[in-house]
Amino acid sequence: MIILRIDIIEIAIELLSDKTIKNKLRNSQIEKKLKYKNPLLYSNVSRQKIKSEFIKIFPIHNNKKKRTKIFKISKKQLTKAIRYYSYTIGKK
Amino acid sequence: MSYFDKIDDYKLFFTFSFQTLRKLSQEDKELFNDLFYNRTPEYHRIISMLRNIKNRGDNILIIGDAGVGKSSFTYRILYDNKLINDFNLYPLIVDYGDCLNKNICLMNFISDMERYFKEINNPINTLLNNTEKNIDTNIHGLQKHLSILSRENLQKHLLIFLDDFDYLEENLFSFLKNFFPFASSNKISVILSVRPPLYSAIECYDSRYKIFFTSDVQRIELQPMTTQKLLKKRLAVVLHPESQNIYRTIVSKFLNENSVYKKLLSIYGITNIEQLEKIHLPFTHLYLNFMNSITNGNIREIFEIAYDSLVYTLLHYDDIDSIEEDDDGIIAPRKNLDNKHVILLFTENQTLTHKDKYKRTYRLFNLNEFKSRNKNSLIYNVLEAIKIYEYLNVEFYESLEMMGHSKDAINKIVKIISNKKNRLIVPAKIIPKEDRETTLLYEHYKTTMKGDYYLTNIAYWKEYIEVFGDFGNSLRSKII
Repeated sequence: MIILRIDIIEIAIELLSDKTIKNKLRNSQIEKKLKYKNPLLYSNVSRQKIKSEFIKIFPIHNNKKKRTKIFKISKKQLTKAIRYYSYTIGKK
Repeated sequence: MSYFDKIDDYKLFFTFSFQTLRKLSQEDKELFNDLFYNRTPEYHRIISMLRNIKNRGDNILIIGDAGVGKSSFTYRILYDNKLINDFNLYPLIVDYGDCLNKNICLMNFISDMERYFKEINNPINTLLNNTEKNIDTNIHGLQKHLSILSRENLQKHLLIFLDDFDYLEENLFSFLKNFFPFASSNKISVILSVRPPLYSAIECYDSRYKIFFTSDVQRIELQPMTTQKLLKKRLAVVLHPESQNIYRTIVSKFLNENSVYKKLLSIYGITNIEQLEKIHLPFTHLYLNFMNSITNGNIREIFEIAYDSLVYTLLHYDDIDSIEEDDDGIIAPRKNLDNKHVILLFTENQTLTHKDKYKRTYRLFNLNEFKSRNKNSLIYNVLEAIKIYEYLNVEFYESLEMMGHSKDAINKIVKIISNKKNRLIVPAKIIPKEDRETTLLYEHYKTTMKGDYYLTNIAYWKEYIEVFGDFGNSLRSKII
């Protein structure tokens, strides 16, 4: 689901630009942000779905653990993801 | 025969009948259906789309060049009460052309949505006062309220018309962002009308917008219409047998039996609608071809040309040659307006006689305004170079400098070309160098094709060269 993946990238860009926040994200936090962003599309989005898409953008070992609820985001992985999906993300 | 004294009255009639269809039918919506011309296959297609739209929740895209009639096509659906009631639809209009202000547009939209929720007995209570500060929170509130309601509770299927978004330009995506959640939902359908440059901008921007606005949508493409019948339809206002009931309140003075407007048409030998259908008006085929090609099918511009040329024929009635009766069913006397008159009409170089002292709404562009020492036309060569090189790269400048143009002058012309007010030239757009290595003009040139038509037409006009002078050498001859 490419739309969900781009939305997660946008959320990660916002968070990493804010220096007061550590580079850790809770699953529920992402869900809240997504539901605020597009309540019509993500009204029934599951946390399992978010996790599966999140791993593809940030393939860090800790994120892949079965029971993890806190995800790590890194600038390096993010820049890689932006480059990979660059044809999809518009000019900011 | 001179009509010089009554020319102001004629002008009133022409300006009235060549208005946009929506303005013309502001007081009478029935009039809209009477004057709406052609587009029946497209209309039947959109009906078949709207029939199933409630189950699928598809979005619809209407593509067409400037002035082809996208807005009037969408309003044709809106004014059709029977269709809207049968398919159980609820249309909402977001017309940027009406307000020309983002905030006012969104505030109107919020109040419309609020009214709809009241009508279906599911009022929304979470909205704040409808002011500029609260727009974002209110729109989010609307989206949240919609996500809670089931399809059965919604009763009617919402249709959001997004019209005239071409005027937004740089602010387009920040504005379209507000409607993106609505477009992604199955409960609502969005109908977006765009010009080709805006269509390509959405395609390039972001795959989310691409999916919901351009690729995964039902699309209708509007082609330019035949001008002659369209013009007749507009001039038929006076001759229409039912018009007396419709226009009584609006233009009672046009409808007297002795009115100047009816006399005007009788000059061309027309007294009823059947005859009007047969006659070719004062325009020859060449002239109509000119209208179509030079304006790229833009109806607004065609009306402007028609207005000017009809006034011109009345002023110079005795001077212009008339064509004799043909087998084509032409009634006569028909005036022969050709390219020679076009140049007399729409150029500024001509000497004005006492009769011609009125402002023309249309103007031809002078390609020989800027010339090099070798007497090569700068604008003509730049247009050619855009077509050949596509980008403003080193080769682009080098080839033009070979023709004797300086770099500053070239940049100056590129700015003129990219200015949208000069509608006869390419409505190109300069992208800043930070984003891409070279500035790209060809995309916009290609999508509109206007500059191309202009070049091909004018190169074969002897009359144009007689007035403005020769263009000099072509760029292609140097390259080879």
